[in-house]
This record gives sequence, structure tokens and C-alpha cells, in this order.
Amino acid sequence: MVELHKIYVYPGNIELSQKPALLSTILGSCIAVCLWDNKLKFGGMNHYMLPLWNGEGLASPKYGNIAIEKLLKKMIWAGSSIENIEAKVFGGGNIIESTNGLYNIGVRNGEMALTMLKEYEIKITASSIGGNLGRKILMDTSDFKILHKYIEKQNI
Amino acid sequence: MINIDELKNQNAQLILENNEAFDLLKKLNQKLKEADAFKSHFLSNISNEIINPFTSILGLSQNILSLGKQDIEQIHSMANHIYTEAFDLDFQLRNIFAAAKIESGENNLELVNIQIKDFVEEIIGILSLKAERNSLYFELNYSLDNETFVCDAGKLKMILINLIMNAITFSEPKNKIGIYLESKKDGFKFSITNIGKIISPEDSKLIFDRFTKLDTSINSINQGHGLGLSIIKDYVELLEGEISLLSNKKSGTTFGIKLPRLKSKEGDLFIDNEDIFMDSESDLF
Repeated sequence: MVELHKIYVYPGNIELSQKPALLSTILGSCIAVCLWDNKLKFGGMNHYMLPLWNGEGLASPKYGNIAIEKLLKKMIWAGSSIENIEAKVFGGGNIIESTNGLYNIGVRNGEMALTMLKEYEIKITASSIGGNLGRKILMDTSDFKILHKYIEKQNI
Repeated sequence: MINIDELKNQNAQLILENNEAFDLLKKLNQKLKEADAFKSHFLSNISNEIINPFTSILGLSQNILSLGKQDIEQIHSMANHIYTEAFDLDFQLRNIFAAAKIESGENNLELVNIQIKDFVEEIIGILSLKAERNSLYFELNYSLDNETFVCDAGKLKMILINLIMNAITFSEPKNKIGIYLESKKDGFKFSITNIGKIISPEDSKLIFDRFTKLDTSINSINQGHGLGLSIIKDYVELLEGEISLLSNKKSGTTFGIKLPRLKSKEGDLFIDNEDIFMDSESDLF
């Protein structure tokens, strides 16, 4: 078996690979949106921590609205047509105990992904969002198979 | 049965959240307005700070070419000017590229072993010429040996150079810039102190935003694009550290950077197939 190129997706980063590769990350209240082109058979993943850039600091992909747009742009630069792109969304666990809706980052992160993907009319073929646990995910960019495992809070 | 009190409570909570969201929206609107102004400012800054140094570098090197071998002293002084201009240019460009890299999501950690004392002394060495030109001097203090510290050398260098360059730029002449290095149980702390203009508590919230310069007048003697601190903030976050700021008339302005000892290497972080298959609790999506 050929050893696949392995990439860990840091928070605030975007990774895209046109060659078969394994992308992995660990999520708490963060969200990873995975996009995949079902014609060209390649894809990428982002990992954002907050839903919206509020003008503070740099406009980096640690904010959902920026991370999703940039990942999509990268896909299109790499030759994808938007109608061939499908999405899988993971994360958004409520790992910080809080009942206040406004500060429930995990839920708001998840909503941002669903809203934006709907706006772009990108089909979500699988997702695991919310709950009280963290997650580990591993994506194969050649076939869009994603291994998903729940992890306890202290391991994040 | 619906409990009226509970509904009232929920309603009050929702109104509170709504008000907070509205405040955020107002702030964001204001920032968007400012962003447009920043953008035009940024372009004029670029021409000031990139084209001007280039012009002087070209002019000076042309002069050197026209001089004879006997004018070695003149050549030396011109080369000195070229070095300073090129140094500033290099610094500005590195900041612009670093910010662009962060914004495009290509901000990976590259952890290596750093001899912390040598590392800091090397950076001070690079910047001492710049400090001398502004009649400033460094005072370096340690509470540690030349310990090894696992960190991203490139990013740590950018953090320290930016902080020290800021300290040089915003100092009143003939003062010292204090650099203090502390070894703590859970990491390292770098403190950089300068005597100059005080940063007010309101301003201290703004300085980490990109393109923000407290003195925005076009004739401002303070160079830069207002990128330095926004890069520092993102890098420190990536290195899982903290920034502190203390600014008053008595002790000057001190930026503190606390960084934890990082252990994980990228290879360890990567989640393997076998790793996830180890137990049966994993799902395939």
C-alpha cells in the first residue's frame, strides 16, 4: 500500500490536496468543513474556532465566514465547479459548559457552516455537529471517506 | 402547563442577548466604515514605505558605482545607509507576507529546539544598529540559563523583532529598551519595556487590529502598516501563549509574551488510521 501524504489541520488553517492525502484534525467547539469535488476527486478541510470575523485582528480563517469562503475559493482555483462540490461538517461540541445561547460557540459555529453552505447551494452529504463531546476526524481526499471518533473533553 | 415565570425569565434573557447582539452589530458597522478608510491609507503607506526605500537604495548604490577605490570611507557610509534602508524594507515585506499567510490559512507550526539565550541575543544583535541610530540602548536581563526551548523559531523571531522594532519606534530618544527573559515552570516569558508615549486602556483594545496605527497622520514619523501586533496576536495564539500589556507614565510600556513549553510534534499530532481504528467506537462518514 502506498503511504499517503498526511497533513494535520491546525486551528485557523485550511488544507487542500489535489493528490490523494489524509487530512486529520481534533475538534472541540471548533468546526471543520470538508469540501470534495466528486468529479475531480479531490478535496480540502478547514478548521475554524469562531463563527464570524468581527473586524478584530487579521481576517484569518479562524473565523467561519472567512474559512468557508476561502476553502471554497481554493477549490474553485484548483479547477472545481461549484455544482460538483459536496460537503461534510464536523464539530461544534458544547465543550465549555454554558447555557447562554449567545455564548454557546459550538452551536453558533455549526449554524454558520449550515447557513453558508446553504447559501452557496452546496449539498451536505454527512455531518456530526453539536453534543457535549470533542471529535477526531480523518479524511481521505481521494474518496471523501471520513473516519470520525468522539473524544472526552480533557483530551482536546 | 406553561410556567409564566419561566417564560418571563426566558424572555428577559432573550432581550438581553438581543441587545448584546445589537451592540456587536453597531460596533461591526463602525469597523467596516473604518476599514474602507484604512484601505486607502494602506496604499499610500505602501508607496511611502516601499517605493521610497527602494529609490534611496538605487540612488545610493549608483553613487557607490561612480566612486573610485580611494573613497572607501564614503563607500562605507553609503553602504551603511543602504543596509538600514534594506533592513526596514525587508522587515516591512516580511510582515506583509506573514499577514497574508495567516489570512490565507497557511499558518503551520514548525517546532524546533531553540537555545533561548543565544536566540534572543542574535535578534538583539540584528536590531542594535537600528537602536543606535535612534540613540537607544538595550538592557538585557535573564533569570535563566541558556535553556533549550521547543518553539517555532521563525514565528518567535517575528514576534520578538516586531515587539523590539515597536519599542524602538515608539521610544523617546536616549532611553533604554528593557528586555527581560524569565524561565517559568510552565514556559517562558519575554517582557519588552520602552519609555515613550503611553497606550491608553481604550487604545490597547484597538492596537491588535490590522492596519491600525494610533497616530494615523500621513506625516507620522512612525513607520509601519499597523500589521505587527495583529501578526503577533495570531502567532502567540498559535503557540498557545498569552500577551499582556502594561502602560503607564511611571514604568513605561511593557509588552509581555508568555509561551508554554510545546511538546507535540506535527507527527505526533497526526491522527492515524490505526489510531482511530484502535477501538470500535469510530464511525465512517
